[in-house]
Order: sequence, then structure tokens, then C-alpha cells
Amino acid sequence: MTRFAHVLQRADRTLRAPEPQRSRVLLELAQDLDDLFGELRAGGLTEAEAVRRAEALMAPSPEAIEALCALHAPLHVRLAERFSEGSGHRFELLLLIGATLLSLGSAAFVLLGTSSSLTTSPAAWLLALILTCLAWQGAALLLQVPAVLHAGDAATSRMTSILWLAGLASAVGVSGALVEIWLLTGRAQAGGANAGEVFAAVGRAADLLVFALALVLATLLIWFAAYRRSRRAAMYSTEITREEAA
Amino acid sequence: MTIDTQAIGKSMNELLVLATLRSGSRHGYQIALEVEARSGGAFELQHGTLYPILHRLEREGLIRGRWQKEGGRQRKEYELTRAGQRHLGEGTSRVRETMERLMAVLTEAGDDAIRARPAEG
Repeated sequence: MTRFAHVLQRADRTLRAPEPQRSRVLLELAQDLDDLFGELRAGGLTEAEAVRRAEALMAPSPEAIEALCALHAPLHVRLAERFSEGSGHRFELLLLIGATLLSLGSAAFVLLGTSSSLTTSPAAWLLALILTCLAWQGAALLLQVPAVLHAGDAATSRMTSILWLAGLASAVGVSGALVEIWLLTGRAQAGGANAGEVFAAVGRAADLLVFALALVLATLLIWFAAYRRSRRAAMYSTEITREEAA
Repeated sequence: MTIDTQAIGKSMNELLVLATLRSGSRHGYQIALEVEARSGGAFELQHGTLYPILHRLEREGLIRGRWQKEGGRQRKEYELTRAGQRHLGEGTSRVRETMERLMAVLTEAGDDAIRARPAEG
């Protein structure tokens, strides 16, 4: 295995894929290199020739590694790649931007509306907390813009945490709305809910969903913009490495 | 019917891998060696280009990868699935048709060029 250590180390450094796929790819590569080396040696090649031939055939080029990264990327990255593919999916991207603006507008309308009783819902305070965390992470990401521009995946962990917060926001929004409806059903069954309370509870549930949707869509757009920037920087960095190697 | 020559070119390596697995399951490096040997060195899957092809075919369900323990080591072996066999059959027909049409165009153009040559001289 040590005779191909440099090949495996290079693949290990450049292969960006989630576990366990990443380890499996590296294990497969290691086994193939070793087995091919053994077979070439048995076929009469010298050790140096067998190493050279095995590397020429199986050691992945930067393009092959890039293709493997794309194949084994998590779902959200594959979706982002889909939007990044030239103008083919521009309409879908515009649709996402439109939906985000619409939901942000709705959220602002709810927030500014004097009739809103959203603040009485505990889920609204949780959403406000998530919004604060998102703002903090977003500001940190903005401060990292030079790093993102020059070092490709420097901000990957921060970008991932932003996605987690968006997921949390959607979970809080949906569960908060469900709790409102559940409480309302309980009151109605006990015969203690009047029309005003029903409207207020349904309104709070709808407001929570609108807020959560606005948070999630806006976060996805910010993440996507940062991802595209980071991807371009990574491609630029790969190009420089290739030129240096050449 | 229009033939997408770019798509044919891209799928050529996939078809070579599928064709190799038709005669039985293989490890990755065995596939690369066999493609080279069976084509008399005309086709080579060098620089690890084999791995993205194998993993894509596996994801599409055209081949099945299985980890097996051999001699105390974990090794991955690939085999052709039914869907892979169908894909190979369809792909082979597509390539054959493309080649026939391409040769018809080239032969006609080549004959014209041969006929025109003495007149130029």
C-alpha cells in the first residue's frame, strides 16, 4: 500500500464527498492499485514499470476526482449544481428568487400588521432566535468572502451550519403551526372556542408558516450564492494546481 | 431520426464497461485491463476515468457493486444487472446505426475525392 501512498494521499486531499462513500472510494482505489500491481508483476514487469503502469491506469486525474465529487455529493449540493449549470435552469432559479421575494414580502406584511398576534406563540420566539443565529452566521460568511474567493471551500462548515439552521427554521415553523391547530382543536372540542379565537389561531399558524418559508428560501438563496462563489474559486484553484503540475 | 453524435461519444466508455461485464463479474482494475486487451489497445480507460463511469452506472442501476472479503481484504466487484443488459443492447444498436450512417457519408465523400484527384493532377 505504501508504494501508492502519494496517489492515495492526493486523492484523500482532493476528494470532497460525504462518508462513508469517501472512504469506500479510497479503499476501492487502494485495492485496485495493489491488485493491478501484483498482476503486472506476475506478468513479468519490473517493480518500477508495474508501479508506473498501475498509476497511469488507475490513479485518478483531477477531472476524474471532480467527477467523483459531483457523483457522491450530498443532495443539496447536487441541487445547487443543477442550478449552476449555465442557463439551462435559469427559469427555475428565477422562480426561486421570485418565491423568496414574495415570501419575504408576506413576512414583512405580517410583521408590520397591527392585527398580528404572532408574538403570543412560543414558536415565533424560537423562529426569532433562529433568525438571530442566521444573521450572525450570514455576517460571519460575509466577513469570510475574501477567504471564500481565494480558498474555495474555506467556508464550507459555516455554509453547512446555515443550511442546518434553515432546516431547523422549517421544522419550528411547521411544528409551531401544528401546535396552534392542535390547541385550537382542543378548545373547540371543549366548547370554549369562539370565532375570534379560531381566526386568531389560524392566523398565527399561517404567520408562522410564512415566516419559516421566508427564512428557509432566503437562506437557501444566500447559501446558493456563497456555494457558487466557492465552487468557482475551487475550480480556479484546481486549474492553477494543474498548470503548476504541467 | 437525428443522431446525437456527442451523446454517442460520451456513452462509448460506458458501453465498453458494460460489454466487459457481460461475460461475468470483475474488479475495477480487471475491467480497465480487459477493455484495453479486447480492443487491441485501441481503447484505454486511463487516469482513473474508470471510477466515475463505474459509480455512475452503479447509481443508475445498470451495474451492481458488491464488497466481498477475499484473502482477509475487502474488494469491490461489479456485475451487470438486467437493466444494464438492456442498456447495452440498445446502446450497441445505436452505435451500429451511427457507424453505418457515418460510413455511408464518408464512403460517398471519399469516392468523390478519389474521382476528383486525377482531374486536379
